[in-house]
Amino acid sequence: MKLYIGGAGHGQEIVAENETGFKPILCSPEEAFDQKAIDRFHEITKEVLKSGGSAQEFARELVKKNPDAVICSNEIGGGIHPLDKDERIWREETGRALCILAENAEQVTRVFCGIPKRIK
Amino acid sequence: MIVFISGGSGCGKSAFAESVAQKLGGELVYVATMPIYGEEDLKKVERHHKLRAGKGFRTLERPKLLSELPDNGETVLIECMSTHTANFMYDPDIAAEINPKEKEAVTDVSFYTDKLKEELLPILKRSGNTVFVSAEVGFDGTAYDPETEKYRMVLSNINRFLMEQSDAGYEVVCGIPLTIKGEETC
Repeated sequence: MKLYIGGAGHGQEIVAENETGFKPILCSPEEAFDQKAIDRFHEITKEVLKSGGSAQEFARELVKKNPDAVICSNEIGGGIHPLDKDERIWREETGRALCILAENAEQVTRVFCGIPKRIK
Repeated sequence: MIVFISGGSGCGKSAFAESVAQKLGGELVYVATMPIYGEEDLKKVERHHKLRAGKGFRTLERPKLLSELPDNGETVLIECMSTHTANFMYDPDIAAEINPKEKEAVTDVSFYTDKLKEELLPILKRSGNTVFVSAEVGFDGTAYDPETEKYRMVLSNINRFLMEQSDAGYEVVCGIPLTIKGEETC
């Protein structure tokens, strides 16, 4: 598994495609299990939570079922604690889900203003 | 040694801070700053209790001021400066204490920044190690109301101050500590 993360619009999906040759695809939680490259993981966790699932469980399942996936995600935890409870849960659970992916990935890249930095 | 650790929500900064404190060694004290208002907070506390279980921390609750912290060579882990800053700015008892006469006039960022720094100075001079955990709040594009913006600026000022004062500083990203300052010893 390869994980590419960064703030909104920092270019993680572009770097991922350049480095791996696979174009990250927007997909549903179910489709994510057999995609080569997944875009906007943070939106997938939102969908998982909306349907009553656990983002952390989903991340564990993804590691098991799609261990070679290239995954792109925004980092969404760097602002003010949201007033809305669902937003708060989404923000924190996405962070924890990303920790699970990062722990299991052989490579983690953080993209800042288009510049990749390998952090694992 | 002073260690400063920050990062976004759910990034794994607590677990990393605990491992840093354990590596620094000595008697371990965990200073919890979060006041508990409801079920969501209780769940959070429970999760942190589980995370710390068996790691040898004694817990001190400091939901108001960071007063009377032990100073006999213990390694103290303070979590989290984001809640502490909110306590400091919005707890009515503290407001009465830090600015008894001009409560209405307290609006500017530098007032709270300076008062908070003043409060932190004795902690920075402790005889043992101090590990500060804070939260990153500057990385979104949302325009908040003036009060929230004030809080955000005070916390960012305090984060910069603590990073400056620390011997080692880290940002935790997806559970991975990135060294911002100091040796990669932790």
